[in-house]
Amino acid sequence: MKAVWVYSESDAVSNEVASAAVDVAKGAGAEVQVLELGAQRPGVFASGGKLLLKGPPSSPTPGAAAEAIARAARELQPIAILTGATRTGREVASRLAAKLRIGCIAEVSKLGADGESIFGERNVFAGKAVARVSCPFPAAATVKVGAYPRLAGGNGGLQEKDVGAVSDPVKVVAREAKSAGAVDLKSAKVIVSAGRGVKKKEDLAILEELAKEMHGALGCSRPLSADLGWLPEEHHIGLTGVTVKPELYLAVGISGQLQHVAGMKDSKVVASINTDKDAPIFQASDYGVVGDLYQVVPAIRKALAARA
Amino acid sequence: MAALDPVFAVAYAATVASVALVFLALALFARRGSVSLSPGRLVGLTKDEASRLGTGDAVFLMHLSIALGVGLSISYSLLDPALGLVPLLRTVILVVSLPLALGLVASFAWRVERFVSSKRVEKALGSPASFTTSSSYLQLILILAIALTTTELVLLWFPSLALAGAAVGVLRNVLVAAYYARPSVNLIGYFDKPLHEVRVPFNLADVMAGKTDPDSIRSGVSKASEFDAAERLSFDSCVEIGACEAACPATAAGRPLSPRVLVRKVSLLAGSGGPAVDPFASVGEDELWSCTSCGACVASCPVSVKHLDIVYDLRRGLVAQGRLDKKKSMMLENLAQTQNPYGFKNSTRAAWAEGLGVDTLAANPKAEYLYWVGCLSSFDQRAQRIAKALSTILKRAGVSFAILGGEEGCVGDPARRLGEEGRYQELALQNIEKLNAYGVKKIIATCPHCFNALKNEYPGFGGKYEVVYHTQLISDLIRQGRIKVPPEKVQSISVTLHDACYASRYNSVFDEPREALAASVADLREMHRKKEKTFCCGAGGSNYWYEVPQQKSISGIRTAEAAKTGAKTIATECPFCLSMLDDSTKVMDAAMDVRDVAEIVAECL
Ligand SMILES: Cc1cc2nc3c(=O)[nH]c(=O)nc-3n(C[C@H](O)[C@H](O)[C@H](O)COP(=O)(O)OP(=O)(O)OC[C@H]3O[C@@H](n4cnc5c(N)ncnc54)[C@H](O)[C@@H]3O)c2cc1C
Ligand code: SF4
Repeated sequence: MKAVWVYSESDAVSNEVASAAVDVAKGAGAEVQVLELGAQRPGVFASGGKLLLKGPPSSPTPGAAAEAIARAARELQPIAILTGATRTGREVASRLAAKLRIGCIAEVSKLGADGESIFGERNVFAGKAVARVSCPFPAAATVKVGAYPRLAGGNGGLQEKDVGAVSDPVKVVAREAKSAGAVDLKSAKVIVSAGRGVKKKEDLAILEELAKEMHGALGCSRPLSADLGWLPEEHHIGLTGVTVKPELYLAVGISGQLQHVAGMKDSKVVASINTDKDAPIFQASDYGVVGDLYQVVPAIRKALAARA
Repeated sequence: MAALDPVFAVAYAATVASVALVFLALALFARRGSVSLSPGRLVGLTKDEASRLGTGDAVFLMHLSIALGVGLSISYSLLDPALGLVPLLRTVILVVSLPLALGLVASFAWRVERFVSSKRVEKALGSPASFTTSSSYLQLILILAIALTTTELVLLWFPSLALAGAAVGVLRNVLVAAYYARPSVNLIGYFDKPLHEVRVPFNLADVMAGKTDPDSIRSGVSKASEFDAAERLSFDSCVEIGACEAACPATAAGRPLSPRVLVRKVSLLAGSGGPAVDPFASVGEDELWSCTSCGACVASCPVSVKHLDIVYDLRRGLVAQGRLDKKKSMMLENLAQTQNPYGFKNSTRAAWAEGLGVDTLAANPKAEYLYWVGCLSSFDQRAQRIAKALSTILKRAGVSFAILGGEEGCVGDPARRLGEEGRYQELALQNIEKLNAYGVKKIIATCPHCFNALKNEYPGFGGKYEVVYHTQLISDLIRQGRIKVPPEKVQSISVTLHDACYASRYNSVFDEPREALAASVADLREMHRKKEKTFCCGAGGSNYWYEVPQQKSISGIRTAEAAKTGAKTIATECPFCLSMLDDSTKVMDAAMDVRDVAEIVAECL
């Protein structure tokens, strides 16, 4: 029986990718097998069955995972290997594609297959267009995270395969938690961003509170971090800072120069507060309030509190 | 001297032999570097040096006094037996030797000052002891050669000490043969290579047409053995003069780069071992990214070392290995996807022109000039005012012009300077195809990076146009009386002009903006570093799109320099300079405003 393999380092993503694999398997007349490396993972479900590869360590680095999977694939010849488009998954899939000399379609959703190839859709041009991509079997693919529901239950039995010891050239020397102050602007869904409209450093507190109340993170324009030093460097958004694409970007007291807008223009919704009705930020905004942030921000907070 | 005295005969023979050694060394290095020592080249070099005399450039005058001092003392020693017969010639030589000796003393003092500051730079860069030692050695040889030549010139005045003079001369000649023949050859070979000439590793059109085998292409350098003969001659010619380091804005800002150290490191590396030596083992990534491609190093080097070739080739090596951080790779991705480095929708390029009655070439294909707007003036609201001002001026003068609008794509300069030659040529070919399809003949540019690429680089890819810089055209229009600034409209402000590197140093455009300003403002002041000696704003070489570690900002140094003139307005002629200096005046709370020459002139009409 032809098989579609699923691998992810995370249980949750593995179950999402398994859903995608079901669609591929259906189109190609194949079955789904979910891979476990080194040791069994009770959190992982499969509709077809599970395949435990013995030999690699139980939480391998991407390089070791790819090597173990490649060894098994050379022998068992799956038609497709799907991983999640996580940092690790991307690396595993690209290494697999290189090792097995097969094609790889990246960051895809809406997967399917026919007798000869796998296909899917991916966003291009910063989400402004969708490309349909396909690749003949055998192929690798990384599945967009969050695009599929997690497959629950379904267990068609466990097979085992010994691939031999996989030595890992990469050694983990130390693990360090991110410094407490570090913000993860890139993954924040809501960003409240402060500009020079804020008069003193202490006033940032109200924006920090607002960000917290909206379950978001606080960002800023460059002058606030680089020149005034009110916030650490990694908070500044723009051409020379971070590029962000949150669901909601709230620009408070930011004029909206090109160098700033270049870093946030792909946000889904942009709202801004500025006293100057001609401020360029309004041209990059979906919603705007012409007004003093010291009045508008407290009003928003009050409204939010009333709703909670 | 008594011609038959055996001691003097031996001394003379030694002199002649040492001079022969110098010429032998010259011939040897010329052959190795395939440089021609033809009389034509020598005459060309002499003319070039003579043309620099007027600039009063200190480094150049020192270099000249050393070269002439050595030449004079060699001539004297060779002519020695005949001088007794022509006493007048002897007097002439003695008189000429005086100013040269003074020049040499000044050079000596400058060398000592350079030596001290070079050690400071090496300390800041954390250069290893082996490097510091080798650098000190070369610098001391140079100081010694200057001291010896000075001594020899002084000894000419004392015939009784002729023997000592001859000994000093022989020693100096041996030093010249050993250390300075190669740089002389490099100078003769490359003194006239224009600053804007970039080594082109491949021609994309040829590759696409199948005329070049893609596997044969060496885009950049990732092994020391991959530098070509001209580059080797160039970096091996460095004798630690240090004029580049003194001129470099990156060094001045405390970035991890000194052009002197970079060139010498590469030379030591290439000479040190097997062909596989990895240059990035000793040259840091930030070291390479620190360069703004301002060209001050190349322009100031007395022996024509081409530092920028090395920077670009190593950057290309980093690009080939994918060693780019997010900011740089994002800029390149934007160029590929949106034809501008900021990632804005390219179709909105002409938004600034709305309601101004500016035609696109599609609507007005007969326009005399194409105005090439450039990305920053298309998308940045502040820089858009440059485009608007120029349009006002052109309309007032009745110049027929049009723009490409959404059909204009980035000229490619940011990609080329970053070391992504392929992306650059891709953009260049796309642009040339459009320009040629419209039959464009004349182009005006307001960005010196666009200007330089269109004027000097595009012809190599099949795009030949007459390209003028906006400051050139504006000053022409004023001269021809096609625009007039009435006396009551002359602005009573004090202005200092910041020359853009790519206009002034790269393309010798510096008188025209001054003429335009002289007609429009009451008080024009000059900074110390001006015209082709200008100091970078910090944005060139793609630096606009990323940051490197530094002690001070380059734009801050320049803004402070402008403030020192007491002028209240900084005039710029480049949208990037405008952006950098404008930002810097805000950061420094300097009570100065920054405006393009075009804006200042347009306000007076
Ligand atoms: C090479 C280069 C790279 C750069 N990179 C970046 C970058 O990556 N990111 C970045 O952000 N900048 C960057 N900049 C700087 C950029 O050009 C702008 O200077 C900067 O973004 C302006 O910050 P701002 O909007 O906070 O300040 P300002 O431009 O001073 O704007 C302050 C705004 O607040 C408004 N305001 C004032 N008081 C109030 C109030 N009480 N209530 C509401 N609004 C008020 C004003 O009307 C004004 O619009 C870069 C500049 C250069 C030259
Ligand atoms: S081009 Fe300018 S910044 Fe680069 S090394 Fe030379 S002087 Fe320094």
